[in-house]
Parts: sequence; structure tokens; C-alpha cells
Amino acid sequence: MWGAQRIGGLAVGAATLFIPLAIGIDSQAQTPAQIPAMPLLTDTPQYCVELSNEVEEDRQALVSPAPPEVEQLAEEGRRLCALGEVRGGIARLRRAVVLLHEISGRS
Amino acid sequence: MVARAAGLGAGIAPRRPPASPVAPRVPAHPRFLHSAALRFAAVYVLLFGLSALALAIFLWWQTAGVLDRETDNAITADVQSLAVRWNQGGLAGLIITIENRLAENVDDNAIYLLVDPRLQRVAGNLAAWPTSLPLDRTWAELPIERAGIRSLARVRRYNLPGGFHLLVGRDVQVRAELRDLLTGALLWALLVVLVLGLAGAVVIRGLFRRALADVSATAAAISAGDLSQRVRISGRGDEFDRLSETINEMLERISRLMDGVREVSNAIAHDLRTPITRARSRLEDAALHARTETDLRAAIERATADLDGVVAVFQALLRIAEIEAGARRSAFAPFDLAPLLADLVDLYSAVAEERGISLKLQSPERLALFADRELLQQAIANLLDNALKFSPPGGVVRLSAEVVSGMAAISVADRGPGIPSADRARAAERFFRGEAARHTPGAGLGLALVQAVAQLHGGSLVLADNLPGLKAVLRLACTAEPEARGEPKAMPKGAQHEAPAADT
Repeated sequence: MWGAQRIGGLAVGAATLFIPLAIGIDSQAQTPAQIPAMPLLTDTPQYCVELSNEVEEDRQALVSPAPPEVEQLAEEGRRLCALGEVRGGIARLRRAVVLLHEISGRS
Repeated sequence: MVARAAGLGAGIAPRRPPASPVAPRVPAHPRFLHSAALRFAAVYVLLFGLSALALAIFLWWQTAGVLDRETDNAITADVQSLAVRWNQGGLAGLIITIENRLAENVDDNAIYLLVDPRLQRVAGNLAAWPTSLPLDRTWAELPIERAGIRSLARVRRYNLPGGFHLLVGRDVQVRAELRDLLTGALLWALLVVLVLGLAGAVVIRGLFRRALADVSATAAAISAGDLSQRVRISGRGDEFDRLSETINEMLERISRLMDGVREVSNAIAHDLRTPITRARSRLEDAALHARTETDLRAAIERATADLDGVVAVFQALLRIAEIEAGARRSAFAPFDLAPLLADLVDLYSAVAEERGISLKLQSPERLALFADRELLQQAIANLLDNALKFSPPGGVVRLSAEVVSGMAAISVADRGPGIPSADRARAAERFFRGEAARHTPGAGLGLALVQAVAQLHGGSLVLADNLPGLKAVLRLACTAEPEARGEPKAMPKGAQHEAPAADT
């Protein structure tokens, strides 16, 4: 009986130790709700405009015309940003930037 | 004792024997927490739970843990490549690289912040250095806001030369949600495991109690006086069946011993009453009718002889009981049987010659045994005694010994009337006397002692038809040396001993 109780106590202690470690509950890493969240500057309509301008500059810098998908992505991006879907628009504009960088060899 | 106590004077009370300690009686149904079945069940739940916990930790480590490690590795690789860019292109190169990476961040999860020594923003998509991030910490989790929605980022700080600080991170909100989902699922799973474990523990406890219930019930019935009860064997051949078999063997032995005690009591009542009564009658007759001192002495001597016979029977009974109880095992020692057989043949040669019986010996030169020499000598002497008693004149009694398959076999064969097959099974019972032995002296204890000696040595007494006559074989499982086992050795020359018959 004492052996079983000791084993049980060790098991409870191990569980108490391992479960928090296992799921990474660290008091220092945990972010309480009262810490103010920092906004990302790349989730704003201003960044949409910046990306759109960069797409335009990169497209004009190309020797040959850009592929139609670049135009399509850029158009969709601008439209979404105008409609208030900022993250969606930025995502399409970024894809357009990646394609243009690949074409120009800058990536 | 009373008088002695009185002579000691007043005030000294006779001493009472100390009260024997009475063991506390275990209740018929042990309290719940003291139940052995509960302990087994608790151990089962514990092991089951620990196993499930270990599995859950392993699963978490392999899923959410992998995701976390991948994020950290990606951030570290990003930091290292930016450090290289800083070394190559300086501040300007680093700024351009950060802006390019943000522009190309199709996954929309990158976080960069480059600040000067005054913690003023130089590049990146964070507005300012997070005040909740201490400068002495390399890794941290940072709450961020994405299009008005609160999210979580994991960031790493990197100090650049010149007092600049670089913060590189990833949006881990999805991964955090996945981790929380996985953690919740595992915790619920552990709860289910606990419930299943408890259910299993109940089943285990029931099986344990059921397995022991048979033993307990049988023991209780035996305690109540029914020695015929035996523990039920399930036939699965598991540990409980072995325990049951062992208990049943013990009960069989106890039953045999009890039967033996009963037999002895009955035999004493019936068979010893006669000589005791006869002795009493002779003494009574002598007391009433003896005319001379000579007559009186003669009657006393005859009564003494009768009582000596009774004492001899009691001694034999006690010896048999001692042997059956195994009290003689401490007298076991290694010795050579061959000289013992030769001595017995020498001892009985005169008797054999007197009766015109040929006594022959067939024995290897050496036969090592680990046994009680004195008991074996008595047992073999009893067999020789019986053989010579029942052999007709001109007959042959053959004493032989050999080792077969590790067992020593000592046989005494005669050409007398033998024992009918119907009586052979009972011939070794105490006080049993066959029809042929009715008119010969004896108490019917000789073969009982031989059988007891055989059983003490892990063997048996086998009675067979010698066609004609009886062949009694004493088998012993007490050979001492490897060379004494295996096939019997060839009979060396001069090993046979023959007493010449009276009429030649």
C-alpha cells in the first residue's frame, strides 16, 4: 500500500511538472491580455498604396511586358484594398511583387 | 504440586501460565482502503494513466512541439541571413533587405523591426520597440494587432554593432490556436483515459476478488471440517491455477496425514487391544491361580513379552509417523549403497542358510546415494525379512540394485506365495495383513515403513508379481553422482553372493 501511494505521489508530481512544460506554459512567455498589442504597419491601407506603387515601378522597369497574371494580381490587390479587404489586397500585391522580382532576377 | 504450593506458606499464589497472545482476527470483508484488490486496481489505473500521459506528451512534442521548433528555426535562419546582409551592405543594405522581405512576404507572417541605439524605428513593420520586451531576453512572445484583430507573434532580438537592435519574428497565432486545440484535446483524452482506467480497475478488482473467492471459500469449508473440498482450477494454466494446484496438493497431503492418523487410531484400538488384553489376562490369572513363585514369574515374563510386542509396534508407528512428517531429512548424507547391501546379505545369510534358502546379491561395485543410511538399511532389512519369512525351503531370494534414469532401484524378489494383485494396493497400509500372512508373526507395519522411507526419499515402493512370488522394488530419487545415473553398469565378477542351500 505504501509503495502504491509513493508511486502515485511521484506520478502526480511528474504530471504537475511535465504537463506545464509539455504545453509550454511559461509564466514569462505568457502574454497577458492587458499588454497592449502592437499594430503591424504592413496591415494598413497605406502599405497597400506603397506596394501598389512598387508593383507599378517594377513593372515599368521591365524590358518586356509583364505577364498578364501580374496585371491581374495587381488589379485585384488594389480593388480589395479599396474595398477595405486590406490583408487580402496586400497578399495579392505581394504575389505580384514576387513574380516581378523573379522576372527581373532581384529575388 | 498443590501440596508443594501449600508448603510454601500463605500469601504465595500459584503462578498462572502466561496467556498466549491471540492474533487479531481479519474481518471477513476488509475495509475498502485495505483491500488488496483495490491496491491492484489502483496500480492498474496508475500505470494506465502514466502510459497515456507519456503518450500524450510524446504526441504533443511531435505535433505542437515540431511546429514551435520549425518557427524558431525559421526565425533564427532569417536573423542569420540578415546579419550577413548587415556585414555586407551595412545599415542601408539591411534596410533594403528588410523592406524587400516584407514586400515579398506572401505568407503574411513576417515581423521585422530595426531600431537605432535610441530605440527609434529605422525599418520594419512594427512602429516602435515593444516596451514589454526586456533587452536582456533573446526570445519572447509579443501580442500584435492585425487589421484590428489581436494576434500573437514570436520574436527574437538580435543586437547589431553600433548599438542597433534587430527584432525578427513570425505571426504564430494560427499555431498557437492549433497548440491550444491540441492541448485541449489531449487533456480531454487524458480525462477519457482516466475514466477508462477506472473502469478497467473495477474490472481488475472484480477478477482479482473472484479469483480469490474460490480459494477463500474452499479454505472456509475446510476450516469448518469438510476436508474433501478442493479449490477449483479454471484450466487456463495461469498463476492462480498454479496456486490452486499447490493448495490442492497441500490439502491432499493433509488429508492423507489425517487419514493416516485415523487409521493408526483405529488400528491401535483394534489390533493392539488384543495383546494388551492378553497380557492383562495372564497377569490376572497368575494373581488368582499361581501356586508357586515359578508359575508367577513365568506368567509375568509372558505378559512382559506381550507388552514388549506392543511397545515395538508403537515404536514402529512413531517411526513411520516421523518419516512421513519428513523430520528425518536432516539425516541425509552421501554414502555408498553397495557395502550396505553386502552387509545386509552377510547379516541374513545365516537365517537364509538355516531355512535352506539361497540368498543372492546383484549390485554394482559402487552406487552413490544421498539418503538416510539408517532408514534405508531398515527398509531393505524389512523387505529381506519378509522375503525370507515367506520363501519356501530351497527357494531363492534375490537382492539387487541398479540405477536407471537417475533413480536408484533396490529390489528384493522371492519365490514365495506372493501377494494377490487385489491386495497389492493395500499391502503397504498400516496393520494390513494378507491371507498368506495370517499365521506368521508380525504386526503388518513392515511394508508401511518401507513405503514411508521411499516417499521420504522422493521415490516409491512397487510390488510386482515375480512369477511366482513377490518382487518388491524400492525406487529412490536420491542418486548423488552423475556416474551413478544413466544405464546400469555391468555386473563385475564376484559381486554375487550365494548362501548354500541346506539340502544339496
